[in-house]
Amino acid sequence: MADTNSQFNSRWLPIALALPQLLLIFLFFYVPIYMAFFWSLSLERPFGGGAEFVGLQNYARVLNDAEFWKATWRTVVFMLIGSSLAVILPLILAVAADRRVRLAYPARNVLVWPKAVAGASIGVVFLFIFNPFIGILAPLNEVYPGLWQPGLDGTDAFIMLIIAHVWGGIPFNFVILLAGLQAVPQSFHHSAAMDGASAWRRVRDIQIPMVLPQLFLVFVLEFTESVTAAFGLIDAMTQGGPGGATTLLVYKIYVDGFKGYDLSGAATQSVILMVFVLSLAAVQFFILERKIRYER
Amino acid sequence: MIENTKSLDRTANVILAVGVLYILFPLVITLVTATQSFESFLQNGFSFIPGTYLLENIQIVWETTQLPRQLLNSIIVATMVALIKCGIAFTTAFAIVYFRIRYGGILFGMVLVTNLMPLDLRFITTYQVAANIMMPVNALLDFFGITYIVQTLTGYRMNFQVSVLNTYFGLAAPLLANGTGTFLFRQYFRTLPADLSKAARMDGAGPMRFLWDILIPLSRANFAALFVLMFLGGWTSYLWPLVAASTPEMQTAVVGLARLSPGDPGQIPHYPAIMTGALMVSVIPLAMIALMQRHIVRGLTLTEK
Amino acid sequence: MQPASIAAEIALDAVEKSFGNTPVIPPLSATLGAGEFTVVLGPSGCGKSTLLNMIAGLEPVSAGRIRIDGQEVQDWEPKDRGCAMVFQNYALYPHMTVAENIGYALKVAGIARAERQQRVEGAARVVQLGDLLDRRPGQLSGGQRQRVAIARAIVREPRVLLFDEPLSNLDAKLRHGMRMELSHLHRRIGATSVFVTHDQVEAMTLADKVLILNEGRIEQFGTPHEIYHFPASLFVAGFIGAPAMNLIEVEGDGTALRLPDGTALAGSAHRGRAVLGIRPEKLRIAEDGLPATIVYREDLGSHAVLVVRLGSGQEINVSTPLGGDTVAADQLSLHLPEAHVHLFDPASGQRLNVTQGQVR
Repeated sequence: MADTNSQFNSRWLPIALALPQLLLIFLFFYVPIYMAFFWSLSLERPFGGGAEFVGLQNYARVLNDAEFWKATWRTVVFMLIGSSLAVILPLILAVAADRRVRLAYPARNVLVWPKAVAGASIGVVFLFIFNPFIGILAPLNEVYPGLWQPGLDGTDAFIMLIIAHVWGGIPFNFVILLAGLQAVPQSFHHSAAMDGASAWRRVRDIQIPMVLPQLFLVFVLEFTESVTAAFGLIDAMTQGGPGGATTLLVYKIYVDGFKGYDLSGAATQSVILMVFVLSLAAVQFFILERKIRYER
Repeated sequence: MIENTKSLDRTANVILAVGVLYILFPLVITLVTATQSFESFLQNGFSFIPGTYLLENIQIVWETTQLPRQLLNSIIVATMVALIKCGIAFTTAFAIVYFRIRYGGILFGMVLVTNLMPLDLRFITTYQVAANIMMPVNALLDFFGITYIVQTLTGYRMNFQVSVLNTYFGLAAPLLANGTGTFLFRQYFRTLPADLSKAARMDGAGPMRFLWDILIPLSRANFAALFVLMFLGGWTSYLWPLVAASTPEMQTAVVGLARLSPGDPGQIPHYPAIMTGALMVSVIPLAMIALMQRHIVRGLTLTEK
Repeated sequence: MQPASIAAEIALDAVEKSFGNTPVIPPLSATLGAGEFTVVLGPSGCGKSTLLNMIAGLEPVSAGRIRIDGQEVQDWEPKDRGCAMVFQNYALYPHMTVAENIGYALKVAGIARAERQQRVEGAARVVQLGDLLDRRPGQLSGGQRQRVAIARAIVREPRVLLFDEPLSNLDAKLRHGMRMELSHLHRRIGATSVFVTHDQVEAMTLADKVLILNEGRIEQFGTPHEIYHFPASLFVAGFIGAPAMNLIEVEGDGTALRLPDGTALAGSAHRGRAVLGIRPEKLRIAEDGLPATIVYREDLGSHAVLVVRLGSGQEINVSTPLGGDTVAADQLSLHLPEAHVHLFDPASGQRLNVTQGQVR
């Protein structure tokens, strides 16, 4: 049967109502994506002057570029470590905040604050905090010179990025997971307690399984997010350095496109990144989601 | 329940304390450093004791950097994003839910798909579109041979050029090209009793009257949630404003902050001033979070269902 | 409010409705008399709400004509048809006060504030809502919300009042009270009323005429008395009455109706297979009747309902006055008065006999 909402009759009014949003989406979503595919198959001159169809040449060039593979590898590492931390930490915090303890209420408030702070802004702050000469780890460097050098050591820079990334990822994941936990009916807790499960045990046996749908959701979103959100942090903290150690794919696309004027190469890498993100979402949806749907 | 959960509760408190410290630490550092004078900062370095130089530091940032102008840009862009989004998302959801549109399902699907592909993945070509938003029109005219016909007839080669780079509209528009709010409102409308619109029709209200008298007042909380969320999104976005505005005068505050170098270019940056800048950039959205906590939590849980 | 003069006749002429390729209502014709209270009764999914929505103009008809007061209205907007509706979940506007809810239609129609206020107060008086006008729906009880919904419907002085299962969300006691009030209200304002429900008690108590709908088709359209005493089909016979009419498959040999084992149940000239129907309260306990074993007994205070098993194994319901001879017994014998026996065609479900001797 049709939608139960009684529907108004008008041919042009709904179109007029939806038009602004559709126009914006067409112009700034579908056209750019179409163009990215188009450009990845042609050679673009940086300052206009026509394009030449070159087939898969751009892809061959990009895929043979060692720098591309390094950036891809860094993206995957960042995605796996960064997202895992940015989901697991909020999960632990949400389980804690779901209990009626003294800190639960203030924590629920404070943990949302990073939502207001741009990645680049907190990047500037963390860069200062982790400054090897005047920052919080400076005393460490006085004892063991050269131990902490985010400006020279790629691993140190990477760690710094991840700490800042997790900081910014807490609010959303925390809110979603906490909402999921709070939706678990009290009767489940009661019946599990009647079955003899301790409070600790219930966290594992009741709460975590019941928020698996939310956990799945935040993982999907966090994966996509981590691929792109790192840009602000990288640009504010490391500019891809030292020695390219923090050049993730999204930053490389930016540098290639806007600093190197290699539009075809940047478009090709964009397409690859898009396909990567889409297939990631697809895999997660079709394989994982099926296993964790509960009927309530 | 009568149950001894002391060990779990104590652990919960410890975990929450660590979490809160993790969040607060950089914010406190920012605040404290912003109150230091450059001289005392150079002497003592990292400090946890607040100083008294906050106003002086603000003055330095205010007078020697573009940040004030950029803060204004941020306010304009974020407000534009939030207001326009509230408007167009609402009307689009209204059209989808309350009208029988042909291909309505496909349309909604096309709006929904946008959430899978963030702007930061397609900024290279979005930039090209923003550099000339008439490009699709030109392509269409080309494709249908109209350009050729007009050129043969009049000798004039049609090639429209409208760039929105370095404009507020150009900074805001691509941030609006997604289905976020549409989805939120659609979900909300579907929770309303179906008889509500029937009752309105029986009372003689047409679609626009129903929208204005009934749907908008009922959606107030959703508007607030979406507004806050989109405002924060607009304020904190980085990659797009970075490429869409090429002059410091048009850049947003977050982009400006990452390039902030107040005072004399010396060996050690003027960190107290930079932290003051970070404070100035974050104070409006932070105040918003503090005041509208409820709406943000509601918005976050609603947008991603 | 002026009674009767504004009431209008509703004529449905081969009205049809289908969603896509699924027919919901095959061509349906009926005339609902001016000022009459018609109850459309049927199980859920029978198309009764769809029918109501088509009269209201909330659903377009797929084919056919609807005339209100002689005017063809099937292509008109709801507001132009002179109908008002009371919804199942009341559908009050949650952000408006009671007065604003009642007066919204008048406001949309552009009626001046002073007149609006007067008419809102008038309507509120009719349903006894006077002192609640400044409240919001959220602060009202179910019964009060119901009154607001009714006041909102009558404030426009409609020619036709439509009710979409308006009592189904109230508890049993309130429902009884509201039935009474609706009945009084109808007599007072006199608008043609169409009331959709699946509750036979509402149908029997409120209706001038009952229209019984099954899978979009009219099974019977008559007074409550006709519906109860002369069910036109097996469906109506089984749907109306609690406990339900006993339906027994029998074979007629020209003199009597017999069970498969040959036991004669009642005299009849019918020949061939048939379904015999008899209401539990019409069965008599007699000295020399049909022997039956009591399987189960429910004492309901005012009367008792017995489940008894006939010799053939068939179980039927018997409704008896309490006390009597059945209290201790586990055997009894039954008599089926011929005047109360209904016969139906087992294939078509249509009624076969014209029962004589029943008081109209």
